[in-house]
Amino acid sequence: MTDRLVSQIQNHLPNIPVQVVSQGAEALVFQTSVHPYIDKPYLKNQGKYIIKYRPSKPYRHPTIDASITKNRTIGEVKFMNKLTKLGINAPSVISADYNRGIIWMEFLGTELTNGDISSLKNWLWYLEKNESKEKCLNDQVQSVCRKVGKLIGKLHLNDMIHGDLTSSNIILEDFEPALIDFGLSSYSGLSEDKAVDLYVLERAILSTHSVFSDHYNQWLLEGYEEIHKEFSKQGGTKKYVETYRKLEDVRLRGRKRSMLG
Amino acid sequence: MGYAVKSFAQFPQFQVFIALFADVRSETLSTVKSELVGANKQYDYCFLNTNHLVSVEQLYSSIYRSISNFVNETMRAKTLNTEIIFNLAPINNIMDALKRFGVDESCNNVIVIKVINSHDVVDNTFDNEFTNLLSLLEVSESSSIELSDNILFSLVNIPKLKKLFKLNDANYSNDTSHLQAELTRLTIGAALLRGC
Repeated sequence: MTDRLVSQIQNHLPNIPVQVVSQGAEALVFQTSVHPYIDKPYLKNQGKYIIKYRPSKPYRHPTIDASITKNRTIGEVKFMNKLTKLGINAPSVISADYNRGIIWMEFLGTELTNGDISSLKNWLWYLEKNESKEKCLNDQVQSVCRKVGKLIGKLHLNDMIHGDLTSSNIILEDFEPALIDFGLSSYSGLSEDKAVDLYVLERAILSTHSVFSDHYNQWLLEGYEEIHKEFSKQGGTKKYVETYRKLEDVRLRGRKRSMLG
Repeated sequence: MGYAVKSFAQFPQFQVFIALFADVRSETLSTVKSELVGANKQYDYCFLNTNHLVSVEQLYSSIYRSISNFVNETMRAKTLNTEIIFNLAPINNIMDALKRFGVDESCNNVIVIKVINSHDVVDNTFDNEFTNLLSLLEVSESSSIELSDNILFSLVNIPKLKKLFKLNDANYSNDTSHLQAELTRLTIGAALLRGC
């Protein structure tokens, strides 16, 4: 399955060496050493780039398939471009081919000592596996968690919803978090949607980092609150209270508001 | 200074000739403009003014996408030369794009681009193009300057660029040394999302 898709992308992008980084239901993520059009781009990491590829789905009607691929690719580029414009840490777009569902983007993150990519998940796992309890809950972890909370707060203050917040979709670059993977992103000003976004992260943390999840989640929320207070003039405090109240509701009933779908 | 030849890993079948000329006379530019409108074969180049170009990366991004569209037969413009201009623009109108990025009598710095099929390249192809341009633009070799980020940044009109790309409300860092990098990212993004 993957082999077929890899040969598809190699057909689309001849002479570009690609390595699969991850595969989701809808897209494949590749890493490459070749920039499509310049050797020294204005990016933090040079010589490493990401290609996200949405292959066509054979089970969909070809016309609908083409339009879905195109619209979702455009949507994702739009979202990422908006984040760049707002100065919210996320990869910038290098190029895109909407009809083929290809997005070239900036590579973010570094390698941890064990060779894994520096996502929040991998970093916390590394600490949990190799370090003492004290080290897992030290000031640095706390500060990173708060920064993540602030980052998500910034996103929500701009009425943008990530849609798939997990600790592996947060990449650390010199302990500064950045968001990745906007395949499920949307725009909404509703506190309900923001609360669900937070709830998804809360559950993700609970299941991937169960031992210290209480602490992590608390710090994340503290950061989230903090950034809202900083923007209290734009109604940040009010928005925080609303979202937090909703979050308490969502915790009781789960992610879905209706029993359908 | 001469010219540069750029090629893209993905498209070895093409080579791109790029040259930048300063102090081109306005009268010459109007001639160029009318010859372009008349589709004179001698003027088969992509001519750009430098008002809205912030970096080499922004320019390359457009050339790359244009060649890609040409190969995939998804060009919106009739010619590759116009497609390059169109892909630089954040506006979904080819005439407007030509007006903003094409030859402009009020801007005496001109970037000239020609995409050449690698099969057609012989030893003196690029030299010949260069000589031809010197005569078309009525300039001496000394007015040809290096195409670099520093030069482009000194020639760009930032207020105009920000207005055209609707970047006045963007978040810029306080450190102005990042401005070229930030504008590069934002202009590429805006052009990519043109009409979407």
